[in-house]
Amino acid sequence: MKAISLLLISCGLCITSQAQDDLSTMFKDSTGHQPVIGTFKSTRIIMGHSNETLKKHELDFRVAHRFGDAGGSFGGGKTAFGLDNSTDIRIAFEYGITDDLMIGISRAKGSGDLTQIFEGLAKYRILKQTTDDHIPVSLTVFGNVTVSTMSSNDDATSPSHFDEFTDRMTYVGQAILARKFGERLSLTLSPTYVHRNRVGYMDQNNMFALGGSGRVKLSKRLAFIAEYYYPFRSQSSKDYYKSQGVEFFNPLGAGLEIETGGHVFSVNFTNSTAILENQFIPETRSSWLQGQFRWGFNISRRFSLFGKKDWKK
Amino acid sequence: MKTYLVLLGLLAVTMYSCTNKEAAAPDTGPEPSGCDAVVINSSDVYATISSRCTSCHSGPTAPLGADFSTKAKFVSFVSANTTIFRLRVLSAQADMPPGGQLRQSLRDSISCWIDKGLPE
Repeated sequence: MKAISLLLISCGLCITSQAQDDLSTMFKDSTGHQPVIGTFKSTRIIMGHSNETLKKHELDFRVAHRFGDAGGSFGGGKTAFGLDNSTDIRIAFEYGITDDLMIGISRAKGSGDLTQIFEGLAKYRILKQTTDDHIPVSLTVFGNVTVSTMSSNDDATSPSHFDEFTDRMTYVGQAILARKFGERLSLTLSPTYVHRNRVGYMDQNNMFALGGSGRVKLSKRLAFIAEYYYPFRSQSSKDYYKSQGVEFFNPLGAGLEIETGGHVFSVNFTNSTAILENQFIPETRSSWLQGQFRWGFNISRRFSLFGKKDWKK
Repeated sequence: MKTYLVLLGLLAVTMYSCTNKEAAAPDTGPEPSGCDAVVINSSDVYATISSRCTSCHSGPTAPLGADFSTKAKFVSFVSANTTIFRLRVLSAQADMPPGGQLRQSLRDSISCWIDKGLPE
């Protein structure tokens, strides 16, 4: 890993300029190859990212919330089907540097081994699907780093015991392949890599996952959305945790996306308790079939910064 | 260009901070010592369990399905869930019973009983 980072530093200067030239040539003939717009209405689907990025100088204020179990032993009428509890809350500011590059910072309550999490993220749109299928899919890459600010657990066998600052860090790298089929249907496929610097006994520092999601437009402002992730956890790890009474489940979410002017509002149900990919991919321990699903929402409010000079160009 | 270089630098620093650490295995209970000399049977163990555990662990609503309402049910649960029983009741970081761990000599005795194959 360290060798790769040194290579990036040494090679980055020349690679970056060449890469930009190559990409720009792909879109020179823009009159012939019109990009497909609005594959998704938001930069998120339910749990994970869509292929969309913010426009240049656009600031997106996001709030996401996941409530407690709707059913099972912690749900039911006594907790108003989970509304009395919150498993995770995330507040974020995200900003478009260019039309294809965005960055962001967020704070999440966290749900899993680590809590009190700060996140830094970057997302870059590499390819845009074109209406004539010259480019048949859109490709966006996303990466984040998180740092937990929780107190270190005294128990050295706990994943939240921190000997060094880096023990608090986790990472996600993701490629989002998306295609819009006609006016109503959009699908994504998202190969994802999660790295956690310090994990519990028999857990995995590195985990691959494959995500898939879809959006079906129901009306001008309403769409049905669904998302699923399959984490590739080793059998030995699953067996060990099962012997400890812990079982992992694949995150699955479904909901409705409502667009109201500058707002995009997503109401959803998921079995995962966490909001960040760093947690819901490797650490989902709740099952839809045991009533351990929850109501959640994502709210996005976008602001255009630095006046309207960019719009006039 | 400057923005991309800054992001590339941040990416390199981020990747440089990657490590791969795994926590040590949790203590799964005391190593039995002198178990050969211990004479213990399921009735002895169940006497402790019925006084400390069955107020919660009883009936169909028992947490985690750990129904200790009868000796047979208790023995059957321990037989099927030995690891988790050791971890949560007998280990150094045992969290059961919630009112306070069983005293060390009792935990050692129960551990011996498990090692001997849960004798009647």
